Amino acid sequence: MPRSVTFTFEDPFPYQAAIRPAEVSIFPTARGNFHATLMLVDFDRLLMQFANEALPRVAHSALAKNRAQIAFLADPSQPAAKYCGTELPSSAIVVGAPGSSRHIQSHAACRWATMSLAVNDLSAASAVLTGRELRAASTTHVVHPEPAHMARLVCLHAATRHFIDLAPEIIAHPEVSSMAEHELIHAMVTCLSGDLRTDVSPGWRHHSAIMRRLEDLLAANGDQPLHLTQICAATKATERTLRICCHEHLGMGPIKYLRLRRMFLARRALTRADPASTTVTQIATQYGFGHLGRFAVAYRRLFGQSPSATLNSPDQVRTTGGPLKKMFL
Amino acid sequence: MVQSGSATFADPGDYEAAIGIGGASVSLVINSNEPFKARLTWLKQRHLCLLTGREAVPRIACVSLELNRAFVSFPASSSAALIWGGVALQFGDIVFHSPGERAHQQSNRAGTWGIASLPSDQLAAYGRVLTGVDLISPPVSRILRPRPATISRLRRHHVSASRLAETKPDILAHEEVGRAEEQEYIHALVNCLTAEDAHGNLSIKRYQEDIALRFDDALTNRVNRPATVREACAAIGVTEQDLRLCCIEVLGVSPSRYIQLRRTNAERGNFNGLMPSRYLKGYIARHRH
Repeated sequence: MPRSVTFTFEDPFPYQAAIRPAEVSIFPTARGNFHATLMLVDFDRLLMQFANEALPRVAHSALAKNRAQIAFLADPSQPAAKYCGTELPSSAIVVGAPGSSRHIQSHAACRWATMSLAVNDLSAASAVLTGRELRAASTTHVVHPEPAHMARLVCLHAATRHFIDLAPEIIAHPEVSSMAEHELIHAMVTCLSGDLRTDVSPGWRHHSAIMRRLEDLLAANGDQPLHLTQICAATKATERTLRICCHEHLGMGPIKYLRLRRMFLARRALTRADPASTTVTQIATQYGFGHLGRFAVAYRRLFGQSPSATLNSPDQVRTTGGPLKKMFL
Repeated sequence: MVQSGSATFADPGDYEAAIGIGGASVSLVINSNEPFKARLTWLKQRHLCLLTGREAVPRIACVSLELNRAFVSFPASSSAALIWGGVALQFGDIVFHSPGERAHQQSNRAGTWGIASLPSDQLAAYGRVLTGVDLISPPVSRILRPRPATISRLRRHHVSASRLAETKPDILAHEEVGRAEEQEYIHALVNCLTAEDAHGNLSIKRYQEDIALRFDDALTNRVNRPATVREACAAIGVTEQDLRLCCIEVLGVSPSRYIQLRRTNAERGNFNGLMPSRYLKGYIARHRH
């Protein structure tokens, strides 16, 4: 049965865990209080998401293997984001290949939207609607649809959100949800039809491959702190090349990214730890922070609260996102 | 396993021995009537070894480095006036030493220096990974002048590691903290070592350093030790004028003054060796007349 749900988050970890159908890591890149709302609408076939984020961030997402997804900026007036180092204006769509991964960075508060279908559903819908089977993309890429098609997609997405906001129960009505889903799929397929692929240079592919190896290494090392020499060795890139790639894809150098990652790992550990048996010193040193005073200052600057305040925060902040995800899946 | 610590020394002999932790053997000649006082901080990690020396008096040091480690030294404070092998180092210069090098380093006043070393094969491997080329110690020492931001990053890491070694050795002993400090330091070091040379041709300085080393060897020799400058010149086969010029350039003092300083230092060393206790020294001072 179709259903919708809207979450509000004050912490990136449960937020990233709630995003579907992908494994997502989100690192806010500006100081301030994190705040995000995420609306998930699950029709029979189509999964629609809308997010509103208050802080600029860099996100890495690894898409599910059985779904084709498109992502776009939901508000045409907002500043362009960056997809894997290339500008992503509001007139463009990122077409995600099943099982692929990508970096998307925003430079300010951001509102984005996604729509995804099972690979078979996309083929079937496109065959019916356009007479041509759309195959899921083999690599993630950016397309620039006809402005009218793009405007229709954005409007339909916004309208759907709007009526769900006003009357959430309406989604449970089979005819309404079926009609909305059909319209949205039609708009999605129309945007993806035609020869829209943007050319990419061999250099971009090379850099993307380096970034994929970097993310593979980070994923394989879970919550272990990593250092530049390990990363250079694993990505087979010199520091200079890695720096160029990271600036393109993440908007920051590798050292800053690794440090930011360590800060977030420390924060996650603090939110999960038991304050009765764990100290801030234990967690800071576990993530390689030797100067505890400097760690506390940097932590407060980034997260707006002291490490000890995070450690002693109430239990409800300790949500890791796992239960959330299970609830909706 | 991380070893770290910090100690203050009033005896040059003890200070020399402590510097040996870093793989450098040092022989000091103190060029001052002031009492010797120095503080040494050391940090020995898996690969990296760091030393920071803070000295209150001017001195001349004859330094010998281990063959299988790559060494880098630099003035760690702007007040330090270090002269390496007759070349005055500016604050911001670093010396990339040749393997197993022997040379003189002199300071004109109180100052602070830093040394970093790691096994040569490790430096080559880190250089290969980070820059794409093997970093190997040069056949003759090079004085490099990295960009200000690059050298200040190295100095910042050096100060940070030294401070942890002095104040929080237990935290530094934590595996992840030690690894983070080591990795960040090596990265800063490798960036510095890709810098350009600060000085041009230093062959004349190397020739002068070679004579100064032979002069030092002759004075260290237990058999037929020269007592005068003339005897020293005869022993090492140079003219008095050449020796004088070399000593002024490399050691900062004339040959006769150097002989005298060595003699004074040896006497002071003997005195300290015989009477190591502060209370005993005080007793002697009170009952000297």
